[in-house]
Amino acid sequence: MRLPQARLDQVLDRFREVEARMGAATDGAEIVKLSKEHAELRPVAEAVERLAKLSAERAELDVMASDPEMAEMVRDEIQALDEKLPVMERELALMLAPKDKDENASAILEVRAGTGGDEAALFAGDLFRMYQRYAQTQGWRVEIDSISEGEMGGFKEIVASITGDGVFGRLKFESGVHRVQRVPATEAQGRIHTSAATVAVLPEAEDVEIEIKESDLRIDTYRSSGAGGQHVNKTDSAVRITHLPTGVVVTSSEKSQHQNRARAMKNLKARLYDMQREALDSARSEARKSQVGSGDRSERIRTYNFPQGRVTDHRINLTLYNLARIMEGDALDDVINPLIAEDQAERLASLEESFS
Amino acid sequence: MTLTLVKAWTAAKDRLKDAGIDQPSIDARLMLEVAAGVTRTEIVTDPYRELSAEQIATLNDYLERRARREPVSHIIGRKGFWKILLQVNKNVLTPRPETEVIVDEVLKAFPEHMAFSMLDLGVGSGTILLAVLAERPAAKGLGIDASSEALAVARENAANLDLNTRAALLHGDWTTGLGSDSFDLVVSNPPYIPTEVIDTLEPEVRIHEPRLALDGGPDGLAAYRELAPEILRVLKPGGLFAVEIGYDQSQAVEALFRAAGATEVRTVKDLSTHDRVVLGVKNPLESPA
Repeated sequence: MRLPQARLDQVLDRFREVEARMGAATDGAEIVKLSKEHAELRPVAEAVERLAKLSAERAELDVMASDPEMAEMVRDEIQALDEKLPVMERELALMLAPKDKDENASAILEVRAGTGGDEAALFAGDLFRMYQRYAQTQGWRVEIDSISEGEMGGFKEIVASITGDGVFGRLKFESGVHRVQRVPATEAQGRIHTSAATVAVLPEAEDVEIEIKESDLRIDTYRSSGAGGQHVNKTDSAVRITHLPTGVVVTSSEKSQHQNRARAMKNLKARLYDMQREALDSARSEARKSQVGSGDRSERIRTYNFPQGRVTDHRINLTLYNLARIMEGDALDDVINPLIAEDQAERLASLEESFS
Repeated sequence: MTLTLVKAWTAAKDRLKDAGIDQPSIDARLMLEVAAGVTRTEIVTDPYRELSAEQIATLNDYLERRARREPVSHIIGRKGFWKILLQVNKNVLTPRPETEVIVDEVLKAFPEHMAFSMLDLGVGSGTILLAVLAERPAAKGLGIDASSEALAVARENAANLDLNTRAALLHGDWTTGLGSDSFDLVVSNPPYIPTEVIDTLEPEVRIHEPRLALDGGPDGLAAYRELAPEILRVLKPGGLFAVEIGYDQSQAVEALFRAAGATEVRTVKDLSTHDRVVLGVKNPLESPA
């Protein structure tokens, strides 16, 4: 795509302005704000300058190529640049395209067994395992906030915090209904069952983005009924927090009560923040219909067919025949990368629209 | 007969449920974690891992003990508190979540890099002292307990948490032998259950926990009567104290501390909205100059 020069000049102008004002600023808050913008703009400005330099070189080569004696000498260089320039332009365009500002955030992962009873609960566990393994390959930390077990040895619900760089950006397209087709271990006749689990991935909110009034919260513990303290020696330190205005309920039931409260608050923030995001998204979706990022949690997004060893992502019509490695987390990128590419293409398209 | 992690969890839960245990699911999981040597994450991500015969035997032993109402903390020998994990046994009071309120209040009052000295009276397994020291790298503390068995547990915990250079643990009778105006902070979770009430409690407490850590005399207030004036004596002027109390003792304990000369006396509730901690300050104007 051709990037309009005016837009590129705008970036450079703004970058130089920020740089100049940073040198002059004395107010602490302003310096923080400016240096944040500076850090964001710098890679873009550098890319603009690099592209300008190479474009100029390319123009020079054209001049040289018009001289029959030189043409042979510069042919390789022209070819190399002609390959490089579109790649650089695309990278730069992506930098300029509207971005999800939570791309780099850590995330809360929820996997919930859907229809299909025990088999669904087993599948929920399998999905969680897939994400946990994938997180390991990415160097992310996974901490379980709460588990509720199903009857026959699956899991009704698993909530975990995944901490690391770019977690939300890579996992956000996992939200939705995941369907499994296989012969359950418990099925004597060898019949294939279909069941499902729901995945939700929520970005962790920065403290400044969500403000929660203490008076809007109701906190419950499983120790509320008795005398508590020295009178009772029980294991459960679970904390349940209800956000009264929205009715959102979060629980954490691991480790100490202090940690449970902290985690429950973090999850509550993520949920409230997610509600804000969704409200924004639906306002935006009028303007731009996204294939991969609709964020509709009830949408069936993927099928795992064990007898055929295939995984199909319905949003981009992608079918892969390495189910085992995907479920092991090793090959999950084979699904995630095309989803991200599709999203980038959509963002570029909307950028192009904004130019025209 | 093979047993997978997830089946073991379900079976253990059912067995505890049948035995009338209150929170069978969590208890079952905690004991499974220790018996099979796995983390909670592994139970979820590797649910079909099979237990060895030895692990099954250990788990069965744990379940039998739990069914006889031994506390989980004694069976697995550990308990999470605030951000630390403590070794515990029958010689110490198992840390309760409500006691975290003291830690919460103390951390609010003492900024992270402040150097200060603290005293924990009836330190038990080291619960409050070690949780605070772990979060305040410039602080030092002294823990006193009348039970040498408890002190052995506290010392082990201090060593495990690498806090033994900042935590001194001594055998003693409350403040006996301590100098006046010595500490910036005094905390305590003294025994506060009225003697007669103890026998009405669940067997986990009544049978399995040390009376020394529970028995607050006929009205539950015996320890505070002794401690209030002594805490005010050993505190530096302007120093803070925080003591845990029973759910219905706020008025009585506040009165004892006010009578001993404390100012800014107040009660903080726990997350279950029970009165739980009485706090106050030693009057800074009483400085001996």
